[in-house]
Amino acid sequence: MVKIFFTILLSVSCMVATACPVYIHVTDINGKAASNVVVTIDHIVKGNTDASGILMIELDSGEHILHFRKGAILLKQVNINIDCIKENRFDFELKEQGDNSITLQQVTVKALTAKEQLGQSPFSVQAIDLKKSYDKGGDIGEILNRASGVRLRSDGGVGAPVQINLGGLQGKAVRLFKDGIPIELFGHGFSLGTIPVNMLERVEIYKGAMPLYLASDALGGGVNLVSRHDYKNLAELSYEAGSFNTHRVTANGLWRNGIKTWYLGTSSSLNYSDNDYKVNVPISTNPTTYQDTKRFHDATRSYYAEIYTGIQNRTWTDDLRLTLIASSFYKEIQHDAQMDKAYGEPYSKERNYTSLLTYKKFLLNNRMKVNAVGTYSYFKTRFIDTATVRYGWDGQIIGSNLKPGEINMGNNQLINYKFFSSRLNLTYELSDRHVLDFSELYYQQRRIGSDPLGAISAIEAIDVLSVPALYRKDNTALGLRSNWLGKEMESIIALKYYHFQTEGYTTDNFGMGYRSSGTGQQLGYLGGLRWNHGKYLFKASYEYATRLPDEYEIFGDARLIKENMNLKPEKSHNVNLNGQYTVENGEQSLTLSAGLFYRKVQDIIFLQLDIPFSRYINYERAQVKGFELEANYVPVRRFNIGMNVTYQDIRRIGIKEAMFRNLENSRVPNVPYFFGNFWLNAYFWNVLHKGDRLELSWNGNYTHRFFLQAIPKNQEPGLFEKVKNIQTSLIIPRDDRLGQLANNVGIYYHFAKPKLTLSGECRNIGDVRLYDNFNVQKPGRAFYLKVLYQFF
Amino acid sequence: MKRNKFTVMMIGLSALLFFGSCSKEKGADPTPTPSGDLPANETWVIYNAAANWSGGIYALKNNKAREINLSGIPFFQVSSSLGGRTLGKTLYKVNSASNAQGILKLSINSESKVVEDKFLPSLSTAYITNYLVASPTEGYYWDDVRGGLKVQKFNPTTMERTGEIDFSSLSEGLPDESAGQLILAKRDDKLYVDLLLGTKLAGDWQVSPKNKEVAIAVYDLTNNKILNVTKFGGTTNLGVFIDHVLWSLDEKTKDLYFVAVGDMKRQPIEYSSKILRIKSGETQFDPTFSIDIKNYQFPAEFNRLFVYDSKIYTTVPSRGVSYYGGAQHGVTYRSDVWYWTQIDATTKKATRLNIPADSFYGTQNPFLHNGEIYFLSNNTTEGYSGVNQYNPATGNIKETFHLKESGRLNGFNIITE
Repeated sequence: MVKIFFTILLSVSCMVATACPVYIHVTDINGKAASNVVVTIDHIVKGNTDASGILMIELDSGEHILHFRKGAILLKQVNINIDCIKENRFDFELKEQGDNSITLQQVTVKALTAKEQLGQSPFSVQAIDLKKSYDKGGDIGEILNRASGVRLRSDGGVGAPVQINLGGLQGKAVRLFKDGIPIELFGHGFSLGTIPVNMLERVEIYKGAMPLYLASDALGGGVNLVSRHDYKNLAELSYEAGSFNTHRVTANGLWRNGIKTWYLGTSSSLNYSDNDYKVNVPISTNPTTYQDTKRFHDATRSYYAEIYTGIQNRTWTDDLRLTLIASSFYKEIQHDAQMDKAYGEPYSKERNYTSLLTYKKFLLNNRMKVNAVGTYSYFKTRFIDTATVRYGWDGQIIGSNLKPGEINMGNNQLINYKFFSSRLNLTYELSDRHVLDFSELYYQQRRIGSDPLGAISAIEAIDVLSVPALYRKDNTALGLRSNWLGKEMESIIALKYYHFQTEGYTTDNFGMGYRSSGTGQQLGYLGGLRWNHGKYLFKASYEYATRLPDEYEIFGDARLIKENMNLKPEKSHNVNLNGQYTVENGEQSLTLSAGLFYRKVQDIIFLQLDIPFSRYINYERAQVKGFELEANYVPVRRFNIGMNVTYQDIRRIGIKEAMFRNLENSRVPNVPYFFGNFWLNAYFWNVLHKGDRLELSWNGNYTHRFFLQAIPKNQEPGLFEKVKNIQTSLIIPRDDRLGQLANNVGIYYHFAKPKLTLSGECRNIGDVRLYDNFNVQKPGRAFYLKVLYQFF
Repeated sequence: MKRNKFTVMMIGLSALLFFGSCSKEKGADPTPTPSGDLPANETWVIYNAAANWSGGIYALKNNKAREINLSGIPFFQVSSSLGGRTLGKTLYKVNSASNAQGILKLSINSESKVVEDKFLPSLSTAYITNYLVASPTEGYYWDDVRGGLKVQKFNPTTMERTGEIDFSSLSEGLPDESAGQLILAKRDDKLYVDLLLGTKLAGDWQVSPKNKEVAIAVYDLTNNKILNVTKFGGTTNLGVFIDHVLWSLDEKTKDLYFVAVGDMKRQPIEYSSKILRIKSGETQFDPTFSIDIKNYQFPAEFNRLFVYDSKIYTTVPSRGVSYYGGAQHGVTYRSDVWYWTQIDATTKKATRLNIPADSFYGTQNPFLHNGEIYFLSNNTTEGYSGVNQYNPATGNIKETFHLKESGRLNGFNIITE
């Protein structure tokens, strides 16, 4: 029914026609935004530039005459040509004269940054532009962790699993995408723990409500990693070497023919690390002592090779791109979740092959924009834990002739996955002020494998993994974007529909195996409002968000986790309020931004632990209230200082069983709730040669202590109070520190000719013990050197 | 720089949220209602647990009550709260606060707070460490990494491993062999350990013995030698979990009792769960004695055991149950079906005690204190978590205490000054 409604609405909307968007950005000679400049086009007043010097309008294809006025003074006249097939973004640089009149000194055409565009959307979104960070070492997680409201949690080291906490929700509640495609389709070779910064153009962090083009079931927001879209031919190579025998190589290349009708490119990376940093762990002395010792079984290597080719600027397509990806990931597994036991042999590895076909086209006199992507992926994964010996933290064997499996009951697991997904985004401009968006994501996963040491049905002796399992979901969204008050205000309303279906094999309580299937659906909706006025920016957004249970949660592993065919989607009411205020004075500028967020989550999927079987159930409810503040100050052109802080009060509510009401309103454990960052950057130009640039940076990252298990609210210590009435070691950090502070410094030198960048970084300069998950210690002080060379 | 109302408003709202969230809830009164009939010389040790089994260990001395709200009372936090044992004023529990494998020693300080003392780690990576504290200087535990057919010795005061007892001579070369993994019992100068020689079938959790029988190896601690292996047919599998004591020494008769749970997956009627006995002074199973679950309920197992004066105290379910009958199928093992029952070891007559039915989330056995036997119950339907005490001489039952909205009761000890 919903789909029919969407289809009819879309069809009706297709009958209305409109123009294409044009972005005009006006600055003075100092690069400062020129606000309140009246812009007339073809002798019709289209509006004033805002505090950022921006005016967004819609124009038909063809030649147009622009006039810029301030009061009654005509500043300049210029002709522009609009081609709706391309992006139409214009930047005008103006010169202010002594008599307060302004004349147009020169006209340059360059893209308005995507970051600025996103900032104008009604969503609570933060875009991190990475184009000036390609000299930075490490992975994308290092950068993402500095954003306000975001906390990444990792076991440490290259390739370690990373989960994002966003607005108080984490894990599966936060979805990750690469160019709008769920990131799991790209394999572990492309993950937050492995992607070097110079593989991406930007990162978009959606806190709460999700835009329609990311049509997925995200309960607490999502992160879209946007690949580089270089417009010039390019060949770039980088190499980074650092502590713990860490090596990273990236290669980016793009070649376009002269008339820009086809292109060929690559974006590839290679990572290797021994991850053999020192950790403080229990050594098997009698009695046990804690000593610093090197990790000995945590090597990681991964590669990600992406080649793409495409056809552009034809009558039948604006861009048709074929992307082929091969990647691999190998990781040794060193320890358990508590870093209590050492493992010496288990590992996981995978090989992934993915192909993508992307089609983009403006249709119907440029009023309709089509963006369609189809992907097919084949993954081959292995998880091996067959050792019959056991290891101590010194790397020595401490027990022999034991049952296979250091981690649990042994695994010799081979699983093949086949993924198919498609995404269709349609944008139709109903009128000068209204735009209709439609999005559909279809995702299918098929799994088959074997594990002789794994789940075997007791009666038929069937390897459960050998029976194919299927998981499908489709998410549909339809929305309307509108501009009001001469584009000072933008609104969005949307409906979303989520559906999943799964088939698999499970065993009943007495060992009988059978095929089973499950299905579920859910409606969601969102609304958002953005208002710009002068120096102010205000946003409000709401989404009734959904996360569908995945195949593992429904079927379990048929060994330790049983199926639950009645599992319902998780739901959340997500509210965000954001404001921004910018003050500028010559080279000085101060930007203050603040956000309030609220989440009310129900039917949280919870692993109910038991022996012999655990199972996932819809159990908990939670409420999140939080805020984030950020300040960025540029006192002079060469310095930049700033900080952000996030507090999120995440509490369990609505506990049904009377005996557990002692935890009503208790803080949801194992989630950081108070954290922040600060940074100081300094820039020096023309140091050795003209055009060279030297950058020095210092950033700090603070995470306040948090508890790993629930504590009744009336026994919680105050934010900065000592823990008195609870004897607990289930706290991070557990050494009486109020929090963890990591400091990183870097020095970066950019040569103008040749285009070479040399970088040096020291992370965790204080060599403090850092933990994100339980007692799993992250790397101490580490040094990295990076060289980046652009051939052309 | 101009001051603006919007920024002030945002900061103000944020500050309101910030300080609002920092405020302390004053609703719950941490001090329980005092009651005049409570023994002043007793410290009650209570282990509560949340739905994910995490919880706390509380010591109540002057704040004991018949209705106890644990909120506000200091506690020692653990990630797996499954109860514990006492020796004098010292507490022991399986695994550390963060659930690292081993044995944790705790004590109660002068402020009646439970505090960590020492930890004896197991080399094992799995949740399988059984233990016995026999005296301040004599303890035993089982650690598969050190050898499945070896029982480790430790000093419960220093929590240092002191040696091992080797039962390897009893090996039959089968894939899964253990001695003392689930039963570690001491009577006089002899150690009684379960001997399980068999194979763990794929998809199974218990080991299937080669022969359909149970076996106890008896070790002479004075002469440091294996005395004998005694066997009993018609049932299998002594014990269930680690830290779930399924043996009991009758203090009055000195008879030693054991629970054989049988194959809990298949629940074969011909090898049903039984309570067995090795009489005082003997090292062989009493061939004339067994209490068979199917005479009371079937399918089911015995899963608790305490014996005093030839009266067996255990639970019998009100209907047939299967441990594998969780999820959506059948009657779950965690339902409120487990009724505390007294079975006369001589007549085998069962008498249900008037105590709230239990859900088997906690596995602690009844225990004797000052002539009365204490029983723990968690009843999900009634939201009840509490302890009742039974006087075997008078037959009277009274509630010792119950928890008020304070989690599940997974353990209770009494320490007397």
